[in-house]
Amino acid sequence: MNVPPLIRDALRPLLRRKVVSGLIVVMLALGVGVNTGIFSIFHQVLLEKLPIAQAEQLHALASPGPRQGANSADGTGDDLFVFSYSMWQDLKAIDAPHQGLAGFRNFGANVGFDGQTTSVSGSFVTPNYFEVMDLAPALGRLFRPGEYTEAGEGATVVLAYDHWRREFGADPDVVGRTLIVNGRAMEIIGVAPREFVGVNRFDPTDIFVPITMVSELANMSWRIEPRDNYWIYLIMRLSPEVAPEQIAAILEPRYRTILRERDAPLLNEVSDSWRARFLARGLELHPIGVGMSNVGDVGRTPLTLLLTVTGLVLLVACVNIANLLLAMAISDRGETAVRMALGAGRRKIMLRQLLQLGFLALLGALACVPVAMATLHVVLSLIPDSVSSPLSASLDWRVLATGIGVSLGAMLLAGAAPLLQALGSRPVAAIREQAGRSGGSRFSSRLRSTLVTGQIALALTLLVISGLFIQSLFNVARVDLGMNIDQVVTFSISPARNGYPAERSAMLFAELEQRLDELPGVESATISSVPLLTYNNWGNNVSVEGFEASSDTDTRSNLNVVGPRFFQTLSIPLMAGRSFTEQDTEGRSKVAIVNRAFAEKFDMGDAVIGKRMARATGSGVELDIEIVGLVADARYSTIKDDPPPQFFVPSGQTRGLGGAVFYARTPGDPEALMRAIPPLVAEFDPNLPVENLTTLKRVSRETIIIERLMGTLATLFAALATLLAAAGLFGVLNFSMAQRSNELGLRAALGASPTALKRMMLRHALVLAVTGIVVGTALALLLGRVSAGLLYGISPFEPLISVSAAVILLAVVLVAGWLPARKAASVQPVQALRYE
Amino acid sequence: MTQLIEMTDIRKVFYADEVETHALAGIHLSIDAGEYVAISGPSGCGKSTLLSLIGLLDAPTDGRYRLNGVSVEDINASQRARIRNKEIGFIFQAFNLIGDLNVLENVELPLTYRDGVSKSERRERAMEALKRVGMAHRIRHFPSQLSGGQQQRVAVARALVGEPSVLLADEPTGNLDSKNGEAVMALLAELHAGGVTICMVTHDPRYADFADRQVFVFDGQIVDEETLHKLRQEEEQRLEEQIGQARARRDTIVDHA
Ligand SMILES: Nc1ncnc2c1ncn2[C@@H]1O[C@H](COP(=O)(O)OP(=O)(O)OP(=O)(O)O)[C@@H](O)[C@H]1O
Ligand SMILES: [Mg+2]
Repeated sequence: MNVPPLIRDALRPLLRRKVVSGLIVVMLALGVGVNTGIFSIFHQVLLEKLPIAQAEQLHALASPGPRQGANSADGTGDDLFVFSYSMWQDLKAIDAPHQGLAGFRNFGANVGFDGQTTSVSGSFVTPNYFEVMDLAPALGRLFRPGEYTEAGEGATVVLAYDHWRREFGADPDVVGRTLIVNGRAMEIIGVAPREFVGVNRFDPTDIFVPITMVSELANMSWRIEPRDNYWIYLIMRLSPEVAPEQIAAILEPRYRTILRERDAPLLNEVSDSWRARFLARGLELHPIGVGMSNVGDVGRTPLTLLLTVTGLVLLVACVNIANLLLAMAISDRGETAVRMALGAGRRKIMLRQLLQLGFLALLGALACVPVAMATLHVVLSLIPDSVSSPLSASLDWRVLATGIGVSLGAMLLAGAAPLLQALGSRPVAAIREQAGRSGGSRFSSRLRSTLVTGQIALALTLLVISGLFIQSLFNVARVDLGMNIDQVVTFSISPARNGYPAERSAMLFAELEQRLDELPGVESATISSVPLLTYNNWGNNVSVEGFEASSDTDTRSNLNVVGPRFFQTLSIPLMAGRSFTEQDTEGRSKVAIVNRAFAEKFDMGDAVIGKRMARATGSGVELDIEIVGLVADARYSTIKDDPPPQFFVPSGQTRGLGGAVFYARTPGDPEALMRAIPPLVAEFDPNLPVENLTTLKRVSRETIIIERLMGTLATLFAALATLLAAAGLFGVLNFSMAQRSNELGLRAALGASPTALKRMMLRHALVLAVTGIVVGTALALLLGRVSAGLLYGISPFEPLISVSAAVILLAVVLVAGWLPARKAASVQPVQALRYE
Repeated sequence: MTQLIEMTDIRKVFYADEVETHALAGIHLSIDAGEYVAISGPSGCGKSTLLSLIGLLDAPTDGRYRLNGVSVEDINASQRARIRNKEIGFIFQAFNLIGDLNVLENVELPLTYRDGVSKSERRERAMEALKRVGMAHRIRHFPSQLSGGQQQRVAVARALVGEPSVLLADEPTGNLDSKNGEAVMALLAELHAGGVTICMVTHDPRYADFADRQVFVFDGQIVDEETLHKLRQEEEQRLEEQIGQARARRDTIVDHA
């Protein structure tokens, strides 16, 4: 091969030092690889645009402020992002310079086709949805603006491309055929384009249906007509030349007029200040070019923090590389000076160095791919399928390009010092060096020490951060849930989606609960309307006997509909009164059980049993429920939040649950019990999908995903950084040991004992370590502040953790310093005679 | 007078790349306290090696060595370091000051390796030594800011500061011009006059004359002056013959061309 002499000349020193060059490439690959891996997640969750034209034009509407009526939001966005159907129509009718306003809402659907029923994700969309998205059908047609205006109109389905391929084998004849969606026959009219799965990428849509079908398909409180039924997410496509603020300025006054003229008259019983706040609600536009999902909101801080952490790891790696390059440059110093003496210009020298850096960077970028893939896999394995399945385990070309860029940048950063060193070498230096003067490289030895101090500081920072997250994870894992979640199997079914009427659903629930309880290997089983520890909430405003409430008093309590053996199955202690029984049915008097937090919130004192309450507020509400039991507090929707006030009502006295969760405690193998569930459910209805079949333990683990993610990854990266820093320290001590061997020999000649020399080297290491630890502690405080929101039961400044991190680091430093120190001790004093 | 140094049949063999070098081949040498001895001989004859054994920088391969009445040929590295620190002061050809330390710190260095010397005492003794060599006005300077002669004077102060039994110097004037070289020699003479024992390696016969006694080393052995002279002449003759032969060969090559 004919390599240009310039390149050959530049690469020769690298090839000559295979070990050092290899080390540089490995460290670069590690540093850049973990960054690329984390950045790939970061990119997918926070940066990747929706697969539609001009995605950046999409904006979600939000309206913060008080509301009455039914408010329902999901993982797509907060309460303030949902609007009523009527408000969508009103806002759409306003003449403003935008390219369309559409609405959507995701729902769970049981879909039957060819006698097979599966559980899928559906999306109610307004007919103009696909036009606003600017999408063309892959097959058949999409919904068109203007069609389906009346409630119940539009029994049609558009399939998502992926779903069509997966479930229908990409059959082109699917258009025109019938699909049973939640028990309702619907006609398939088309297939949406490839890759489009709706606006919420973390709840990918399988089927799109007209929003006018909501009452037929969803057993929810969602309705088309009422103005106080808030449940639709609205998205607007802006015109290219119009800023969101301009649109908001046009829409907001009109929006308030609508609130005043159409919504306010429907309000009941509110204070004047509340009404004023209601009428003053603003209208905001949030850019959603990357889609809408609370995964992004929840993930932003941890991912940013992780990227910071990996950035620090890269910095530590860079310092190592800089040190190696510096050492190389120093041992090449004579050669460089000779080159200069022979007439090589600064530009030539610089070009040569840049070629070397570029070559190493390129190799590092190549080698970083497997590291990035491994990092990506670790992260994906740590997060639950529901979050990870929409994420790709392969590296996007944009991410890879970023990796290569970072790699080059890192090499330039690391190469800056050696570059200066080379440029600063003067031809005369070569001759002076040989004249035997010591201290010629004092600047560079200081620089190397400073760099190592920086590394130790960074490693300490990462150790402290990882300590915080481990402690936090430990705290979360150790939380007293108030119940026993071991050995409990859980699953849910949604018969309403298969078109069961309320009566039949209730019967199915009761019978299945009974059969489950009698299943061999089941100790006790129960039904629950709210899935525990999954961020689900169900609340009601309540009235309680003896508790005076004004119109502004917070009278909310969480609610759960449960079977007779709920408390027994979950081991929640009954403190007074009785548990529910099979006799608590529709005909009997209404009963409830409350928890201790409830009793406290409503000032019930000691006399809880026998008091009366109601699931409504206002004057003249009949207190129609008798409280028959008091239970201890147990966690409800999350592990981290304290148990909220809760009341429980018996499933026997509740109609209209569209779906329910089952819990079964087994003394045996939960996996075995899990295998027995689908056949049991199939006995009742083979077309009824079993959903979320798992153990309660696993459910609880998934709710602390952020803690586990941060705990595991921060530790992994801190260990990596510590290792790199140790390697760096070892390298520097070893190098300075080699550089100072003459000086050490002289000291020995003057009477320094081997122990004294060893101590001197170790002291040098310790000084670097202690300085690094001091700086690192300060850095850790800064980074701790950022992570405070992610920590549980621990403050970002925890002296014990800082001290432990310092001790670990000191130990590592001593180990890294030991070998060079031992070498120093074995220096021969006779070397002093040959000191030049 | 007491015998300070007593070497009997000292041998030193170096092994490098499976080549044995007999640097010292049976040295008998005694030096009395208060003596000024100059060691000379051709390059590579083993002067530095001898000095390093006297100074306990290295251990002999064979032979007996008593320093101040104590057998020191078989002691371990730590013990050697302690004795070196107490009994020996070194002066090197290349001064060997530590560039990162200033003049005062360089002179204090041997005392920092000695137990039971307080910081103030260290400073006091270092200042005293610097005064003796006339460098007390430069204590904050770094070696790179001093001339060669000044550096060597600081090195002498460093050798003196621990009040050793003997000063060992390996070509102390080798890196100096004649004026500075003479000044250093005068300084050593003055110290000797004050009672210091000195053992110095030198090439230069002018400087060797400062000493009470000269020792000649040839091929790892001590010889008397006449023998040295004879051996030297033989060697020169051999060299001349070789050169002559080389010339003759070259001329024939040129003729052939
Ligand atoms: N560490 C060593 N390993 C191998 N051979 C050595 C070693 N040190 C010295 N020698 C050899 O021992 C012999 C004596 O060396 P020494 O340095 O004592 O000579 P010298 O008389 O001081 O010479 P000069 O006047 O040139 O300084 C030489 O042949 C040298 O090559
Ligand atoms: Mg010599």
